[in-house]
Order: sequence, then structure tokens, then C-alpha cells
Amino acid sequence: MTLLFSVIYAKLYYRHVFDEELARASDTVMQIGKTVSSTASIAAYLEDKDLATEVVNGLVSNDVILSAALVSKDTLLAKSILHSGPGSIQIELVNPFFLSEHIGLIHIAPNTQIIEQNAQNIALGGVRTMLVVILPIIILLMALVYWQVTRPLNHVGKQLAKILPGSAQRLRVDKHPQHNEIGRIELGINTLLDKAEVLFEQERSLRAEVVELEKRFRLMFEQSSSPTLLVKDEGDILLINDAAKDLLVGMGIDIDERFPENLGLYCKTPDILYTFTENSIKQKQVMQSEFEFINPLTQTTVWLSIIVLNTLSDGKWYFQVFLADITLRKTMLNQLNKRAQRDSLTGLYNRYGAELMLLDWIDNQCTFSLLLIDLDKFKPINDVYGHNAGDALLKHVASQLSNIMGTTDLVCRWGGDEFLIARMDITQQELTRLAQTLLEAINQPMPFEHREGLTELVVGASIGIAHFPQHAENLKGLVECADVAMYSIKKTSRNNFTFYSN
Amino acid sequence: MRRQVLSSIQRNLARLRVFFRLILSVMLFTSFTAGATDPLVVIVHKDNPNQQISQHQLVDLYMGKYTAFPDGTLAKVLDYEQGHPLRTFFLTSLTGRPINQINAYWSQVKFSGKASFPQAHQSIDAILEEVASTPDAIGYVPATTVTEDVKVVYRFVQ
Repeated sequence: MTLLFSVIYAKLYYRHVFDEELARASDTVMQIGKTVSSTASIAAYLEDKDLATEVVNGLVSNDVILSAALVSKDTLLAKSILHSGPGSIQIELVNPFFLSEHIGLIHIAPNTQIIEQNAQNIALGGVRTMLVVILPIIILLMALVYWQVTRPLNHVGKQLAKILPGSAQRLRVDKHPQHNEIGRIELGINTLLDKAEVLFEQERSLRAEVVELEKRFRLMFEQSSSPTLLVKDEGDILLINDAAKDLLVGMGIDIDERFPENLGLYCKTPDILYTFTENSIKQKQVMQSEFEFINPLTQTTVWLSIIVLNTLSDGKWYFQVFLADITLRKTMLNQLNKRAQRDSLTGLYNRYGAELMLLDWIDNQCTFSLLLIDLDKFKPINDVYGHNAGDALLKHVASQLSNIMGTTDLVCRWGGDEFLIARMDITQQELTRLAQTLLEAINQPMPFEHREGLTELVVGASIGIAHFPQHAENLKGLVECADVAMYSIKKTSRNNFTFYSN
Repeated sequence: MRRQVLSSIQRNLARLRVFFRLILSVMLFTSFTAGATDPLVVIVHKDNPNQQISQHQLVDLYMGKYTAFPDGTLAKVLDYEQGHPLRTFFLTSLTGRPINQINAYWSQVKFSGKASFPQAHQSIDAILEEVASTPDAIGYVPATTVTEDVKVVYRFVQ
């Protein structure tokens, strides 16, 4: 490196000296030319060839000048032997008495060979001198650097290459490392190695901890019996545990598709499901809801409870989805509900079920009419023929009513021997006809077998009719109106119907 | 009567002229001794066809480049001897160079034999006489000394 540098420097120095010498030589030629120019001017003025020859000879006697010529305005006055064509240097000659008048030229061809030879000699001499002075210094320096720096550094480097960071290995240090820079570097490296070892140790224990924790978490997540998913906010499923896999695959849902669209495919209310997840993302709060699905494989209903939890991690939103198959509980509840709303004897709605439905109609502001039916002379049948006869008769009436009424109508056993019927959007005329039909149906005798043989049981009915929202603004008031109308019949004609009138 | 008057006038004029000559010659003498200058003029033979000579042509004649008038006829250049105040004055005013430079010029030219040297004369009168008698001569004298036998072809502007 140093050698290269000194060679480059020598080359540059040589170049510089050479150029300088060349410049100086051409200056010299120029000066010589200027020196003879006044005599040359006289020669050109007088067109005096002898004087011109004298001038040219004087010029050529300089070894830096190869050839010269003196030319007046139109004639060559004198030229040296070697002169051919105009020289590289020209000096203008003026009239000695009229300086503005140009009367001739001196042509000078410098002896470039000699000049360059000289310049080269001088430059080479310079370089030689320089090298004589510099080379020993360089060699000495290189030796010193090699012994003092390069070799120890190489040694350190080799040792370092063998050392494993984090291990107990260290550099071997001299007795007095503080006395030189390399010793101090070695000490520094050893300190660094100490720190590295400590850090590595910490790192190792931390990593072990992390691995252990991860194992536990994985165990908790993977083996959890609660179906759980982790979803990116675009809907890509990042993690899914075995329980969730089993549940979703069992429902025919593709777990590689996006959430919640993959669930929405088989959901009975997909719009509600999407709104639910969207709201959860928008409001960043825990949402819980239950959805009904159709399993495409078995065509059975599946109910899932879905809990969505938003979590922020590293500036990104994720949501955790907890699923639970609540089909069993849901069907049980449905059955319970049914049971709660139906009359076990007749299978019609009981009072609770009817109230639920009518309240719903009122909430939705339907117009409907209510017929309260109270059987006449039912109690004696019960007393004479026993409860079985009563029950049979109630069932008989219930089936007759159900046959007449449509699926959108409400047919209900309101109490012991009281029935209640409701129909939406019905005119007075139709109501009259319907009431008559109902009466006829109720009056149909029912054959009944008992100990004394076969008999026919017959009942009548008093029917009170009230309209919503004409007669009352709530259910309680409406039933009371129908009740009032029904009682007015019971007290008078029986087996008839009437409309409530205030 | 009129003739008498005229002749008397002429006589008086002649006297005046003589008187002025005297005065002038005295003034000239004093001027050369005092170093004050009377303007110089360049003269030729009165029959010389050249009416005017330029400064450049004069330099060429007096510095030995040419020995011919502008019309091509040969010229006989007359000068004073070296060291004569008129020569010094003439050459320095003509070339605008100090006399020592002009002398150096001549010493360089002397050996080449290419240049032609003017003929040296000692006095104004000698010059006047030579120019008056030689058709191809050219010389210079103070303006005040010019006679009818010569023709002025160049005047120095004061």
C-alpha cells in the first residue's frame, strides 16, 4: 500500500517536474527570441539578409533551438539548415520607427528532443533523489508497522476468529497491556466478550422462559375444549384450535375462507351476523350473540353462541372469536318455551302463549278482533260424566276450533272452559259469519262412551267480541271488553254472540 | 512721380529685408546656442517634381532603407555630421526616438552594407548650396534659412 502510494507520488512528481521543465524551456526559447527581436526588426526593415543570417545563426547556436528563420513581409531573409516550414514559435517583428507597422516574423522551432531529454533527466534526477530519501523511510516504516501493528493485529484477528461469542473464551493478553494501543484494544475486546457472555446467558434463560410460556399457552389454546379463533381485521383466520376446527368442519364450514362470510353461508340470518361482527369492529367492544345455522351435511339446525373480542397488538386490530355449540340448550329452551305457551290438554296456546302473541300484535299495531268463548253448561257434564268426559269435550271443541281457524289466527284455551280466538283485519260482516260458524261447530254433539253405554255430549257457547284498537288501547282492557260482551250474552240468551259496545 | 515713390518704397523694402536678415541671423545664432529651436523644413531642388514627402518616406530615406523619391527617381540624401545639434533635433523629431538609439541602429547597420548612409555636411549653407545645385538632392534646414532656389517638401508641425 505504502509502496503503491510512493510509486504514484513519484510518478506525479516526475510528471510535474517534467511539465515544469518543458514550460521553462519554451519560456527560454521565447526569451531568446525576444532578445534578438530588435536586431531582427532592423534586418527585416532593411531586408538585410546578412544581418538576418547573423540573427538566425545566433538563435541556432542555442541548443534548445533546433532551427530558425527570419521572414520580412514578403521574402525569406535567412533560415537555418534544418528549418522546414514555420516553427512552433513565432515572434512578430515591427518597424523600428513605426511600432504599429508589422514588417516580418521570426520562426523558431524548439529542439523538443533535447528539451524533453533535459526535462526527463531533471525529473528523473528529482525522482531518484526523492526515492533515495523516501524508500528507506518507507521500508523502515513498513517494518515497524509490520512488527508493531500488523503482526499483533493479525494475531488478535486469528484468536478472535476462534472465539465463540457468549462462551468463556478470551484473548491472551501480554503482561503490560496498558502500555500500547493494541494491548488496550485486546482488553477492550475482552470486556466486550465478558458483556456478550452475560447478555447471551440472559438471552438464553429468557428464551427458555419464552419457549416454556409459549408451550403453556399453546397447550391452553390448542387443547382447549372451547372453540376459539384469532382473526385479522380483514377476516383472515390466523389461528384456530382443534375444538373450533372440529366444530366448524362438522358444520360443513370452510375454515380456509374468511370470517364471518364462511359462517354466513349457512347462517339463517347472515345479515344480522355481518352487522354483529361489523358493529363489534366499529365499537371495539365485546359482543355476544346467538345464531341459527343449517348444517348442510345433515340438514339439522345448529345454534352457535358467538363472542367477539377486539384486541390491539402492535398497532393492528385482531379479534378473538369464541364459539360455543348451544344447539342442545337452545332446543331444550324451545321445548320449554313451547311447553310454557301451550295447553297440555288441548295443544292450543295457553293464556301465557296467547298473551305473548297478542302483545306482539299490539306492538306491531295490527288491527284485530278478539272473540272470547265461554262454554255453556260445561260444568254439569264434568259433574255427571266425570273429568274424562270434560277433558274429551274440551279436546273436541279445541279441534273443531282449530279446524275452522287458519294458521295465522290465534286459537287459545284461555281458562277452564274458556277459549279465545283472534283474527287480524276482519270486517264486521265476516266476524258475524265466523261467530256463527264457530257456534255451529261448538254445538256439534260429541259421541262419548261411558259405563252406561254410548251417549252424545253437547255444549253451547257465549261469545263476546271486541276490536283492537277501537275498544281498548291495551290487551287487558280489550279482554275486559270482550268479557263484558260475553257476560251480557251469558246473562241473556246464551249460545249466541255479541259485539262490545260502550 | 509715382515711379519715384515706388522705387523709394522698393529701396526701403530692400533695406528692411537686409535688416530682417541680420536680425534673423542673430536670432538664429542665439537660438542654437540657447537650444531653442527654429522649425526645420525638408528641402529639395526647386525643379524636383515631388511636391510633398510623407514622414514615413523621410524615415525610410534618412534611415537608409530607400534611396528613391516617391516617384521612383533616385535621391541623394544629405545630412549633417554626427553630433550636429540640427541632426540630433531632426532625427529625434522625425523618428520619435532618442538619439542614442538611432546611433545604435546605425552602428548595427554599418557592417551589413545593405543600408545607404546619407552624405554628411558641416553647415546649413553647405546643405542649401548642395540642394540648390543638385536636382536629386534632399536635405533639411531651419525654416528661416530657406532660399528661393530650393523647394520645401515637408514641414515639422510645431
